[in-house]
Amino acid sequence: MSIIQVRNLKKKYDKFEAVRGIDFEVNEGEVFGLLGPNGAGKTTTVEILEGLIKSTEGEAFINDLDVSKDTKSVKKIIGVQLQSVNFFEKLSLLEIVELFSTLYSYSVDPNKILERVGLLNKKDSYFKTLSGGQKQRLSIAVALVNNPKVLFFDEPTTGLDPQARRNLWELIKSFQEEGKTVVLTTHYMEEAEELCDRVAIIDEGKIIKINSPSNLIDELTKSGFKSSKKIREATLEDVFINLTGKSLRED
Amino acid sequence: MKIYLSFTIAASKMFFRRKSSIFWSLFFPVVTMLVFGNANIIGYSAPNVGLIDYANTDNSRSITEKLKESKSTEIQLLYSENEAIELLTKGSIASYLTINSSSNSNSESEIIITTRKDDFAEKEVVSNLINSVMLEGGDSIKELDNIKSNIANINYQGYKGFIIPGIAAMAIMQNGIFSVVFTLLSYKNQGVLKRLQATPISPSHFIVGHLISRVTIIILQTFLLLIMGVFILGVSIGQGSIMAWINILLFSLLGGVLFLSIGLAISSLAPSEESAPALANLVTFPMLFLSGVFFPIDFLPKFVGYISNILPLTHLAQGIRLSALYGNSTLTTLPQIGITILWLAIAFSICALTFKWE
Repeated sequence: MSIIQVRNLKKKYDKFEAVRGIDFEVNEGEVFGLLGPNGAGKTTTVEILEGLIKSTEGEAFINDLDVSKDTKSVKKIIGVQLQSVNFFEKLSLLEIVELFSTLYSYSVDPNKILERVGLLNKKDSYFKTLSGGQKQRLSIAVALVNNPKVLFFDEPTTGLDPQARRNLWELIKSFQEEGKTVVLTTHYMEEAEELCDRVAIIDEGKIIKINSPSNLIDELTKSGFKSSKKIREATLEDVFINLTGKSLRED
Repeated sequence: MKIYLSFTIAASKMFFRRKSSIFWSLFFPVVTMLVFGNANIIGYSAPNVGLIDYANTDNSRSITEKLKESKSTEIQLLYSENEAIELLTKGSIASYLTINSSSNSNSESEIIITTRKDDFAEKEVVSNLINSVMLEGGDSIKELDNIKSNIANINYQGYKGFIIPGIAAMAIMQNGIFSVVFTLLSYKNQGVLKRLQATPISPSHFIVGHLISRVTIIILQTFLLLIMGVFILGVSIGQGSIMAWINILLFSLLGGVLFLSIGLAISSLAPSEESAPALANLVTFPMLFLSGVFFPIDFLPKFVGYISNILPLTHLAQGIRLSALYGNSTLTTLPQIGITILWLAIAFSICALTFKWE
């Protein structure tokens, strides 16, 4: 059963057409990836779904709610992590989570949410003192305050070290285990391969292909493609993690 | 309601945690006030001198005419002692003269100069003026037998009495305008407002909560400055009238909302985000000098005075000063309140027409 439906979505700015007619559906409980180079239209698409910008044409539904008409109801059932993560610098993490839960009139224990993302020991620190990975995790914590059905993550691991990245992957997997739907944009292919049930590959405002990562790989290899690189049992990142350990470094 | 309250509390916490905001809105005006309050700047008093002519003879009338020709003072004709005392208390005249007729001859025997306690400068200025009128008067003026001086039971607060309400008004303007132009704009730039937009509430809740927090801080700041004036500089504020203090509260509230709205208007009218602080300085800087914060606008050339009378800070400073220094209540400062509200309406309309959340 699909929880998100997008039909012929377009977004035109003055001269530039960021999204040129996109169609896709996301199934409930799925981790769905939007992949593409910078400027492909990933963020624009996601921000239309989040109700932050209005589409020029086409329609989009989340949980049967029209994103352009029932924007407020849509916002109540989604959790959002924006690409540039910023919160009030001089508020503590606990205060930020509390403040945001008030905005949804949803009563949650902010301590539990911070514990979930591994920031409980930092609850009294100000936002500005956090490292990049910690800021991303706080951003995820804030996205959880209304116990959302659908979570949107816009390039959550950009700029993070391998430990922090893998830590976020585990978090995202745990949301899926709870039955939440996750829409993720990234330009790291190994991330998409690790997390996504299906991916849409976007370029120049259009979807080129939608399928599961393994089907897409099979399709390519069946067409006779041979990687110029020798496939090995491990990657350099595996070596790095093996040598430096899995634990997070910033705490 | 709960959302506004949460934002108000959050904005207040952030204000008190930011050293620069404490510095600019509390420390800086306090230091300015203490420095200027201790500066010995004299002759700031209103140049108006009252005159009661009880004698009403040819001679007293020619003396009055001569005094009126003087360039350094403005003679205001009065008809009773009560009226004179009232104006002296309010500060609209700095002293008054009484010409009495003598009981036994047809000449005027005396002129009395009444000044406030400790206002020696005024006494000297007015005595010199009378002496010069006598000397230059020629044939039309008969010498008076007696020039007496009298001290009314009214405190003269000197320059510090003038500067404290002025600094309080200045601080309202600075805090109001810059708290929007710097703080709110930085939230906008950092994308914090965008993040709030992704929640079911609109960012207007945050902006309103922020403004409520700032108005509260502005009121506290005004009272802090005035109370420090009482305890550190030893001026008397409000002349013991509760109504005057209530009126000061009203002025800080109106002034706070007014300058916060002007700040919002500046941030939406500024052509780019970088130019907003420059525009804010362009708006506040002239007002610092033309609005009677540091010296009375009577000191300025006439045509500049016209500009001063248009500026919102002039009326805010005047209103606070009338209450702080002379104990005026809301009823007697209606013109100042009216003009402040008029400016508020203008600034509000500009905001409503131009403000964008993005």
